[in-house]
Amino acid sequence: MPTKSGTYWVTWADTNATNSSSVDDLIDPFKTSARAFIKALENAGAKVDVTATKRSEKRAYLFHWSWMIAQGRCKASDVSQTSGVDIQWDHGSDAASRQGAAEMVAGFGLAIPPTSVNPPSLTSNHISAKAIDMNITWTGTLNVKRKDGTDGRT
Amino acid sequence: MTNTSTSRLARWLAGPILIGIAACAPTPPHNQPAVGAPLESRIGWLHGACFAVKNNSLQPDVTLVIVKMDEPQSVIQANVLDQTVSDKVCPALLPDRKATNSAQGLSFYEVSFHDQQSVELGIGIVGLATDGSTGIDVNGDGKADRFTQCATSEGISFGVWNGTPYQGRPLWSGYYHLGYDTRANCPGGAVQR
Repeated sequence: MPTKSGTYWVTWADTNATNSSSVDDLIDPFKTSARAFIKALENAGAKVDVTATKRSEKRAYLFHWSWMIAQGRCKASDVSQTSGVDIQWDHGSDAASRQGAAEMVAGFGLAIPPTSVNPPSLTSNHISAKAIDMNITWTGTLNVKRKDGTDGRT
Repeated sequence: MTNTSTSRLARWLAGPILIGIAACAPTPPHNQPAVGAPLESRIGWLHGACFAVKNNSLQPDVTLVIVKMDEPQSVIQANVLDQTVSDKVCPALLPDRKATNSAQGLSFYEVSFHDQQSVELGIGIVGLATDGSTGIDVNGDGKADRFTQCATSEGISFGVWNGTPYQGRPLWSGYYHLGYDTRANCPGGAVQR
């Protein structure tokens, strides 16, 4: 039995469609390369804080379509379902459907830049587990070894 | 005139008018940074009622002049309520965003808008005594400045420019990490972080 769009889905996503900041959730060969790069940074004395790796496809689906419907850029009845997210976008009227979607936009904290036509993406390297965000801090000069063992100064 | 008068705002957006805010501004209250303080500590960005700025010592009741990044832009005012770490107040502190936004050295403040206004995205300036009706001059050089926002692949880039936007270096720039992917539309791929 589908559940109508609304704040319920914000809570649901925070439990069932979370993003990862673990390198383990990336896919090879990118994962192996990312690990090697982080190790080289740490060996050189840098502090590495990984903030994002794989982003949830289900979460992206909820972000994208709630934004689209709330902005009136598509009809709720036109949205396709996705596996594992039993959501009912169409509340029976445009106003009610937009209201449900708007609750999700607010709950997810989605930004709506003026004149923006670009919703949150359905696909990206993060969603396909081939991207990593990290904060790297160090003091002085960082000598990170290249893959071939030679020095590279930053 | 009202603070949101589009006719006058369109005038200052279309062609900056020389103004001398610094020369005319009254002395700010004791708890507000002076106009001459570094721009980095006086200018920040807003998402909703949350003001993010590289200044951890703003006092309650400090007044903000806010440029709403709507089309057309408009100017409103708000008061700082208090510093906050709540993601209910600050979307920038939601779990997917907190680490990156906090790592920039930003402090986050809940604000109260005047006249029951609201803001989706905006740039806030501390310590200016102006309603923005003739433009906003953040550095006191007599020129009205330009305010911009554009999307990067994972966030929003804000800027304040002394001349033509996206040419040369901005007077101030800020970056809001959204923690989700979107399509970048910053001119020339510019990301002012």
